[in-house]
Amino acid sequence: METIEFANNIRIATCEMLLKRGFGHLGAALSMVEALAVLYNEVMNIDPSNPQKEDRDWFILSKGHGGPSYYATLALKGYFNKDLLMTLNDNNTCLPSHPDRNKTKGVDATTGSLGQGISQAVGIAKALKIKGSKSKVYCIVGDGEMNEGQVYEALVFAVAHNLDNLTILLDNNKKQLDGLTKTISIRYNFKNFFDVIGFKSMEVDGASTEEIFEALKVQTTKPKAIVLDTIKCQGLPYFEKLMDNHHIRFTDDQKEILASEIKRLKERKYD
Amino acid sequence: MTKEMRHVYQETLSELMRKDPNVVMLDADLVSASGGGKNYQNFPNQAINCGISEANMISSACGMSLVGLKPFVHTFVPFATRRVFDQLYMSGAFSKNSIHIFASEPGIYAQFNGGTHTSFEDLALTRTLPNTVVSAPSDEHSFRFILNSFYNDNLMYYTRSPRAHLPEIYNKSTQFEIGKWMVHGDDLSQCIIACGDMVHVALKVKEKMSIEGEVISVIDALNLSPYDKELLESISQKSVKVMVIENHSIYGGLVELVARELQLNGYKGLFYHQGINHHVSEVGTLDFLARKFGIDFETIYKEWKK
Repeated sequence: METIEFANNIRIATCEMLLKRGFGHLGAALSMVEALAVLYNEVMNIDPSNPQKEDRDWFILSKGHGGPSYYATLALKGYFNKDLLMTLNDNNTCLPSHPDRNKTKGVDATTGSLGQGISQAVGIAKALKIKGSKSKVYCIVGDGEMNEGQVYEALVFAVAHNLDNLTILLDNNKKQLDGLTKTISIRYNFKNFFDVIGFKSMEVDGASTEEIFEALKVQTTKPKAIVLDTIKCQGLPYFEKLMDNHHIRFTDDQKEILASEIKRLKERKYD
Repeated sequence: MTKEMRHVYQETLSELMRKDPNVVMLDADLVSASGGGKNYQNFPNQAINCGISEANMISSACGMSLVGLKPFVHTFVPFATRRVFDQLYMSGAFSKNSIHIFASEPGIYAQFNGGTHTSFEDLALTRTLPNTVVSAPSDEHSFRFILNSFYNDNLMYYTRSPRAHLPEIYNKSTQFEIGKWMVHGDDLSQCIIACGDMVHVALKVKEKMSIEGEVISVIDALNLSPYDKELLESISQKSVKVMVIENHSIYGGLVELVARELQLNGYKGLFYHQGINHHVSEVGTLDFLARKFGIDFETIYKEWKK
């Protein structure tokens, strides 16, 4: 399947999960859909039938609240039955809102307490180097998550230990729970920030699977950072325009709009 | 003269690192304090100085555990617990990752680093962690046992100990077991229960009382999680006088652990305790701080005599 179509299917499944639930982190889940699609469809060395295979690449969703689109990606790749997606946040589910490696097949690390996923990612990357493995580590971090001091500690560790097997994808969707990241925190120039620390950094359109793919393929001897220029609720025009769209509890009207967006996405044609 | 506990740490890890390249040690800019310096020279691929970044050290060690390494982490007690409790919980215990934390200088052992570097709360915090073995070894042999147990286990381990020498209580052939406490004495009718460095104070009181013709047993509570429920049930039935002493807050540590178990088992005897009661620490010598907080030999002896 082409990656653009795969991304569309991730977006549809994510919307269906949250529509069924009636609420959730729609904004944070949708802004990284294209990045997930490229990683799992074109870049990562994985085997969904053997999630623990020795030479696999690793993926850590440090912004764990994006769980729904991560689960949609894993299910569509065949890690587990797609029917399970509709159990998101049900009692006794294996799909909690934030990823838990002990509950969900294919989840490499438990995340949700912000800042800790990226630290686990640098630990994994360091361990792979110690073991002489050629596997790669990919980690999505949120722009709001950059508020956390632990992220800085992890980034410095990555450079200090020359973790050229690590790629950080910064989902720069410009917002966090309470509003704009630039007003709650500072107006970051993330690319410069990563450059100054010692990363090889790039900035791409986070809605373009081609640009993301090209950035991921860039060879470097440094740890790599790709700043994804994205927007919350990416791909759903009505929800993109909402100010408070990090986590949405849908009104009846919004449920209808979301259902019609799902229909529109399903009708999308590919050349 | 027995070895300093930090040298026991360095030696034991040296043996493990030599035989298994998956054993790694991490520190947060306290390598020289931990005694691990030689290992950083001898095993540069397995020894990682994380710098002053304790949160990242705990979570990244947990990431290393995911790939199959056996990480041994060290820093001072407050920075290994209060400062990183969410990391211990989420990246460690909740995620079922397996790292060993050597938290050095518990309670009054912070001495001249003073109150800012003192934690009387670490056991209260770590006892609540699931999937975690919490230990306070009292000599080099019990410390070695804990370090080797972690190597052969898949749980998280939290171990508090002074860096300095603690007098030898056991020997190379002593058999320890996780969750089983060591009993010094044959008669459980009067007991002092202690852990870590405080076991030595308890043993001195036992010796003094023995000279005065009174028989006391000392219980070395090697692990606070899991703990020896069977022994505490037995003490509940057989004892008439129990004292618990700890170099820790009386809230949430060994005192409350023992009190709860005795209560649940219908203990009817006397119960005394000595520990830190919501006081903050300060700079000073070990003797000065022990006297100030009432956990020195003289105070505990007098309290027992009451």
